[in-house]
Amino acid sequence: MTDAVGLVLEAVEKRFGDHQALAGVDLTVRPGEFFTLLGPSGCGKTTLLRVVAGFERPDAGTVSLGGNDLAGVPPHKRDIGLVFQSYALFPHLDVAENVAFGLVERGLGRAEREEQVRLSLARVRLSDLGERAPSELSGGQQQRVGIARALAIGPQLLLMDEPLSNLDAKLRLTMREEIRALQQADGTTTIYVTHDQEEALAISDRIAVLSEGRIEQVGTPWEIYRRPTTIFVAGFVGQISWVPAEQIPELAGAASQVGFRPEELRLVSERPSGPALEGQVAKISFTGARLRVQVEVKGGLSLLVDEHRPDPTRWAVAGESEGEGALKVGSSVWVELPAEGGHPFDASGARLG
Amino acid sequence: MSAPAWRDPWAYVLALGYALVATLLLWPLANVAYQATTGGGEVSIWSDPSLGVALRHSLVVSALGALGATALGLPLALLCARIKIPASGLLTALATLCLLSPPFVGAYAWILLLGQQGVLRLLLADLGLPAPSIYGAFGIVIVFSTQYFPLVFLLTRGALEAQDPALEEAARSLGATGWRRLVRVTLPLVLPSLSGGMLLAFVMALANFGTPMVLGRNYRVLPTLAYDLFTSEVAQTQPDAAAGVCLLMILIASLALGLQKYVSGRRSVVSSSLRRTPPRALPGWRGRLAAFAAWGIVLGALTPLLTVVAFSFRNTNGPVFTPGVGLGSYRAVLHGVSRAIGNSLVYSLLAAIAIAFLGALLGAAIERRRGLASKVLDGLLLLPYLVPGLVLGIGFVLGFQSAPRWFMGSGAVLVFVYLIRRLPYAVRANTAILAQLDVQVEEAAKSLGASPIRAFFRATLPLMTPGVIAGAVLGWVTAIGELSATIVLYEGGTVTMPVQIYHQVMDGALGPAGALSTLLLGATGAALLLVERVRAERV
Repeated sequence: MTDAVGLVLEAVEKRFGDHQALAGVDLTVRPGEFFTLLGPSGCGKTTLLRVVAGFERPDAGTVSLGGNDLAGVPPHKRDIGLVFQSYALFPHLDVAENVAFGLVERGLGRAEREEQVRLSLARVRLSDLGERAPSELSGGQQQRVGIARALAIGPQLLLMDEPLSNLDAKLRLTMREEIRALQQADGTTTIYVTHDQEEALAISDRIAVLSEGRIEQVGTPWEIYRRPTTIFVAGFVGQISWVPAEQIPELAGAASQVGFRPEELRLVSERPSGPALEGQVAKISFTGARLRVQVEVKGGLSLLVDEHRPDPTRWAVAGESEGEGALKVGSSVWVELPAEGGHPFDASGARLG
Repeated sequence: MSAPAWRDPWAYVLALGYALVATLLLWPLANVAYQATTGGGEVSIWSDPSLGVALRHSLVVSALGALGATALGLPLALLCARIKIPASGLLTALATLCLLSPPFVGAYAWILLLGQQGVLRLLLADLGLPAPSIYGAFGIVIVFSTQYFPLVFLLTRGALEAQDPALEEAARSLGATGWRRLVRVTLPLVLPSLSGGMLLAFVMALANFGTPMVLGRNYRVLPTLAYDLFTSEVAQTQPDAAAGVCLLMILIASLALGLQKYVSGRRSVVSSSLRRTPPRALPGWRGRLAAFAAWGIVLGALTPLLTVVAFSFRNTNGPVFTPGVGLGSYRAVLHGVSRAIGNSLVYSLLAAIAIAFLGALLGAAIERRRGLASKVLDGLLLLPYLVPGLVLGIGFVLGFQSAPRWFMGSGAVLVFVYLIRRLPYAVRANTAILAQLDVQVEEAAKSLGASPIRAFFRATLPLMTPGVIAGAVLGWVTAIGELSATIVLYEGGTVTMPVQIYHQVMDGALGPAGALSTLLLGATGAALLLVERVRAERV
């Protein structure tokens, strides 16, 4: 466990033909941090990762690792470990040989190499599979080999490019816990790329949300979700319903629109005392842990409302109540808005308050 | 849940495939084997010292030819797969032309360059330099290398391009650069394709009859030995000895195949990724050097063929070139041997049509009706890869000597030989395409009410068409240039262009030989352009 180092990017730009992949990115990743680049496909997050790895040369700006400028340093001299979406295990080598690959390049002696391979495989709990071929492993195991291979060289920085997107949903959940635990134990500064916002929230110390080659917001998962600073971040991370200021003058203040998370809204049958909007139930979807209801409000507006632990006697979809008051598609309801005001944004897209 | 066999149309297609293989492949080969083991010659071939010499010669020139092909093809593949080379489409087409040019035209071209009166020899003599003799092992290896390098090139480049780019990036990030990455990652990953290309080059060199016949003189290899024993004009023919040599050739080819499978098959290196490694632009002098090297290899290999074309316009008087240029050679060819031209066109066209039709049907039957029957047929169709044309020709003579005249004495026998020699290539290409096509397309057609055969013709065949056409054109190209089986099967009335060229070269009629070769090259080039057009439309 070496002393962790930080990464600093200043005004990094990259253009592919007509496409501005990175439009001036400033970023500071702290030593030992688990840092995630989050954004939709084509937002530039993978390009940014490849610039850091040294596979793409930035058109402008600087990248420095632990205080050293990386300009002109080729990928193999950067001491950066890489984990790939497609695993990129060498199919002609067995698992142990894969993990030893970088150690051979570093000229380690045989005994030292074998010890390092043994330790690395033990860390990803694959000690018994050293002699297997990559094709004999499951997807999750293959990616664990990929991680062991990247960590074996003792990199100053670990880069992971959507490492879980080739795995099935259930495995993704356990693997992300494992990656998080591994990084916490190891302390290697890590940059993780994903388009999955839930994954980003669950795994990261801090997140940078990217859109169209720009950084929209950098913050902890809590800050990103609870206090999105741009309309893009508010809409990309989690669900949000927007209400124009003129429909809720008592809440809007100087804002031109106010956003509400589904769990911040409440469905009631009578008009509540606080701020509220009246509408009809348009869609009900039951996903097990919660009930998500789409309510059509006058003015063509549509609000998403979550009910956690829904009361079966209140909902016709539950099939347990035929009562008069049971809610179904078409029922009239009131949506109660939170008194503390939701997420207000002005006309320029900046957050107020 | 397959239908009962009598209701399954693919069962009939498979039956037809077995009938073809049994008649046109197994029966002739069985006759060769029978003749070799029970023939009543006075002297056994196995104790004849000429066999050992020819065997050694064959192994030497085939192995060196395969190595030479690798020395040209592997660097070319690495250059073209990783670096953007200008006009790389044209480069590929020209390389393919080297491969598919009629086998002995290259040999003939080298005679024009380095033979007794060769231009290059005379040029070197003017400078006071000795020129190597093109006759013997040296010339044969040169011709093999420059003809078969595209096999190594095309197969290896395909594998390099299909590689997941993340693999080389992983190697780089772990510290392996330049040569180390090439040796530790890139080459091991393409080893199956690389060794497959080398194997094909070796097997085709081993079977090559025209080149050692034209250039070998006293340097006899197995095919020329077999030919001499079978058709000897001076001594008594020895069909049993010839059959023995044939068996030996098949045995060597099979051993080579086994060795290649062993070398490449120890670990699966199939990439699961759908991403491909694109060639990247390399600016500056390094990029220009790469382009220069790639084009240098291809143009160098093409020079002999261009020489043939150029010389076909020179005036000749028998074996001597006279000053001036003209179309005299072409006039002589069109008047003298128009029958050969007509025969070649008709036979190769009929063979190509049959190859297209049967190749599509058999390919579909093998891929869509998985089972023991289709597996065995697929295995049997490997045989023509290993059986030299001369061997098959001798097998036809032995097996069908009592067949009616309308078969053995007509072009029909040639059409059938061309068909069975090239059919496996078309079947393989089609099964490969079908394996990639989604079965659900055909299932959707069936669910909409199409019978299995109609579903195939309406939903699947249209998707296969470009591949089928390409296979047919390639079949046509090889059929029109076929020499080694034709040479033992043709009769006066069924003479073809390659046979005619062969005799002209042996007789020293270099002018007409050049004109005929140019016509063949032109036809081959035009056909390859057609294939490229079909491929381009498909994308």
